[in-house]
Amino acid sequence: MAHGVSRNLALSFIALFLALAIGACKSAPVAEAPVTTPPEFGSGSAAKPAEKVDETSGFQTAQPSEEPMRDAGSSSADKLNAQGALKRVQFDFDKYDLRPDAIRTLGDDAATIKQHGQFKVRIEGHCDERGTVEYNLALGEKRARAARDYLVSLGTPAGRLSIVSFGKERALDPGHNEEAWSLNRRAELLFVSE
Amino acid sequence: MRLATRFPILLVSLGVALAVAAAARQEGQAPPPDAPIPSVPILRIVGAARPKIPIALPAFQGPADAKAQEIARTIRDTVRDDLDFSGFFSIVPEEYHKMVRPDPGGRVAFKEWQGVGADALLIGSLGSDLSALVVEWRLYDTTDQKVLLGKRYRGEADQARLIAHRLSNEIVQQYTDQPGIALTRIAFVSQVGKGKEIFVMDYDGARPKRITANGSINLSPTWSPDGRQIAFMTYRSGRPELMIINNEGELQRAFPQQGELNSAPAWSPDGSTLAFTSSRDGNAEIYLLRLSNRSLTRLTRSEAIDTSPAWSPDGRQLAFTSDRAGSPQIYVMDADGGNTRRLTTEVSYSDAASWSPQGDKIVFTARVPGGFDIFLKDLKTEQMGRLTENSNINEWPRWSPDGRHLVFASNRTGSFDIYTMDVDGSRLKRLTRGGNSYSPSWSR
Repeated sequence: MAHGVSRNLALSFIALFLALAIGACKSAPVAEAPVTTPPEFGSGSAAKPAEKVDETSGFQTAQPSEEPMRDAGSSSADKLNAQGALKRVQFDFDKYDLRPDAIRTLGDDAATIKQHGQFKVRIEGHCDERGTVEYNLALGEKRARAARDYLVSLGTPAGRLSIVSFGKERALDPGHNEEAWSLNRRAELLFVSE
Repeated sequence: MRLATRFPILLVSLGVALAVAAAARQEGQAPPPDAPIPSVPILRIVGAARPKIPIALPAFQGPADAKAQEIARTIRDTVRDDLDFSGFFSIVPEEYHKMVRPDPGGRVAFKEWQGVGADALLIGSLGSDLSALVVEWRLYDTTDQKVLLGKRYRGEADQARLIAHRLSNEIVQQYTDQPGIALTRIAFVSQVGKGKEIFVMDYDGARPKRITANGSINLSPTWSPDGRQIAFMTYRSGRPELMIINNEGELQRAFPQQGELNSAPAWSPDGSTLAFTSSRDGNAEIYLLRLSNRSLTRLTRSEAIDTSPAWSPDGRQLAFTSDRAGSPQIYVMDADGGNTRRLTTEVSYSDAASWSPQGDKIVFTARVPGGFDIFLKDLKTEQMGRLTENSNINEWPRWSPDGRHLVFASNRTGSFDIYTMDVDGSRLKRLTRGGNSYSPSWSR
């Protein structure tokens, strides 16, 4: 590379010397094009009228979620969740079928859900960090759905159960190893106040 | 003890794996997850051999004060980096500039610039009044000794980089008859506290700007074809739903949740339709949402996961991910949901397809021992190329509008950042630093 450049340089200087020697008195035939002024800069795409906001039906500005406060004595959904009343179930990599341990856990959860008939239950599906955001969202949904379907098969009213997938967005363990991954592949069951 | 019990199982499963691998090859099925990826040659990309145009970009002249000098330097350096990135130009090294003796008559010293190897020469200057940034420039052909192009731009003092990108695009257009990509932008997701917000930055990583601020989880940004809007998925109501905002983050449209999952939006090339994933009928399926009247068309019908639709540039087909054969793989279907066929059979796990703007290639991410890598499949020759190889996660490749570069996310430094590379896997460039940034989308 450096050799090539210096050879080019040398050749160029020779050429330059010859050119200067031959054409020393000639003025260079440089035709300067006029400097044209382009359309106002910065207008660019913004020059077009802003897209009309045509449909905002159903949209509401974000509100913090709210839950009614109950008497301190009675058990709230939050309190039950903090006590770990409902157990989470774990899954194998890239799988959404229920393992034998998950089936046992969900059997216990079904009984606990029945005990607390005043609350609904949200089932959250989660994944480990491997795989894309988008695929894991679908995978987490499958996991939550598998847990829900099994609870329904045990007699839990479907109307008390809702599901949501968080894909790989809410890891329990931020680690990048098999231990963290196996913990993060899960369905979480949470009591929610009606 | 655990080892002792595990060993036989490992041996057996290895045997099974080999048997399955052999059977799979016969049936055209995917090899098992941990089978070694066949070593695939990097594809030779058409146009890569095209000779580069050597261009010199001496410092822009301008007022002597420090602010002006800084702007002048920013503009020149940005143009230089744009032209280098484009792949069409080679930049004459700056240390050669001092060998160029100025013409005694004040004319452009064409021969001198030729002498240091420059076929093209960009001379620019800043106006003396800095309240409005005025940049004059001329592009010269040193062989023909003439001006190819000359313009004067006016802008605000903070538009130095925009002016530079615009200038670069004109030079690329002049030499290639194709529009440059220097004014394109990249949307992506980055972690902010416990939330994930949508950001937009210039295609070179400069000027990152957060455009959502709801503190929730916002994912999967995708540009409208006109570059004025971004569709994405948000949990701001507590449930995954789609939303459209403009470049400034202002709400354009909301699509209130109608099912447990609404994700992975992809804008059709004509801008009329979003393809996306929803479980509103009880399972993750791909739907088309016509934006003019919000009408829905369901495209897939399988018990498996179907997600991550990606349009062909003519809008007639969609690539997508499905695990209907047991593990995620890329499939292609017509835009009416018919004629579904499997695209990837060489790898055990593939996802996140993206169709080249020319329509001839699809890039995707595939699981390999130790991580995920970016692969490219040529649709005509069916040849496959591997573009990354570093025992980390490399995912979500998306094309530049000119089809010469890819943007993707990688955790090769320990955390996820956004990178670009050429379509042959060369010239890696890191665009973000230190955040948890992923899911890039390159504006058209």
